[in-house]
Amino acid sequence: MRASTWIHIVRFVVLAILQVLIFRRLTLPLGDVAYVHFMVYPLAVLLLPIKTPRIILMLAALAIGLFVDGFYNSPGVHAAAIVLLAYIRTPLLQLLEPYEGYNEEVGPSLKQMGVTWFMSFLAASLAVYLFAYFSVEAFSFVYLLSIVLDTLVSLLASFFVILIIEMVFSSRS
Amino acid sequence: MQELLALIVKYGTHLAFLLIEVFCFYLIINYNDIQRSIFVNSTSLYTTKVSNQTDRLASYLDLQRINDSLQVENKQLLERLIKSEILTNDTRSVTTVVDSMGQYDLLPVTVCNKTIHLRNNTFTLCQGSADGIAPMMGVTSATGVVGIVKDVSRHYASVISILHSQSRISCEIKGKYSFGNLFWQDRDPLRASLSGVPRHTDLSVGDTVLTSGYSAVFPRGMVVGVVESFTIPRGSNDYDIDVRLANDVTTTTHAYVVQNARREEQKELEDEG
Repeated sequence: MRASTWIHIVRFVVLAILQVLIFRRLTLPLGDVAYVHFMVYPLAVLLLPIKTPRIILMLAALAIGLFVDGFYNSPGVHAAAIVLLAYIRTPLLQLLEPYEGYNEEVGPSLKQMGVTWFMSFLAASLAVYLFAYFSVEAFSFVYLLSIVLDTLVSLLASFFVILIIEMVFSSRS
Repeated sequence: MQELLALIVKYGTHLAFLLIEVFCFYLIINYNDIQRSIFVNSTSLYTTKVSNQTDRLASYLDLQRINDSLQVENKQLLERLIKSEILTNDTRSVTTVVDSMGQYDLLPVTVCNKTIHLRNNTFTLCQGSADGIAPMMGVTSATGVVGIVKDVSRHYASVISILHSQSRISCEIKGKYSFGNLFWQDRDPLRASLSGVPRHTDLSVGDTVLTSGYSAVFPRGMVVGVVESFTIPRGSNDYDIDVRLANDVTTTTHAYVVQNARREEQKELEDEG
């Protein structure tokens, strides 16, 4: 296997472990209106090379989702949301395609695509993922208000945490 | 097959997505208590609705069978009524009474066709001689007398309705033992006239009019109607009685043909004299 493949596998493992060992414990109640969840592991799916076939994306997402679910004790909930994110990543990339096109060999990272592009990509992806996650968790749109509130606060928190992680890693190399 | 494969290749990603999500939701519903209870509750909401609807449909489709069984049940009840009438009113010895209990049989029939607005109204029954119907048999519904069979073919029978100018039914006033002939002259399908009740009878409005059983067409004691009003015409010995019919013949769809096992015997004897 090529070195780049290993990088992706290592990123998957590291982000999954970070998520379940550290960020899982950081879930904060915000008054009594919402809970702030820090979700960093979707980054692993987002950063896979642009040319990755969707089926591979979804299987990888399923794997990491089930792994995280194992620690959250909620079989299928994270997996359902992250597979949805993997499914819409390709159309989302097409939507955000810059004028000069992509370098299909690498992932759409901060370093590759620039801060502005990466922020919009990240925000859109996280919004979809978090909304799906909280919907599946509540399992009924009767709780739509709290689903939306949780999505908003967790979007802000996760967005900045992922942005910081990305900045650290891109400046290092 | 080729097309199917092409379809899978074309939509494979979407299919795979759906499959994976189905798998995820399978996990969610099976291994998460909250989601499972929500799922079970809301699906049971819909399944109850659906099964209620199908139950209603099924019961609608079942109406014909229920109707038939109710008609048979009705027939049995009416027969018991006739028997009890024989039992309570007969002063003959027990053996002859028991012997005559099986005299009347009822045959459930349905009405195929009818007229109600003419001067001479008739019915057509969907059963005929093949089912055991013969001319001069009485026809009654669960609520009251309907008419008398006039002609039969193999599968149909034509009935002179009680609303027919030639219809004559022998009736009595309940509890008074005086009898007369019921006929229909006005055009009101709910009213008929009773003539021949002698003026010495102690009559009052609301008295029940029953069949007398004299004509061998109907057994004794079947409901015909109630006395609505009565007059004694000048120079007459009989009442002129208006009877409100118990049975709305215009709406009758199911009826019973009365089979009298001893009719022939009685007629033969009477005709000899």
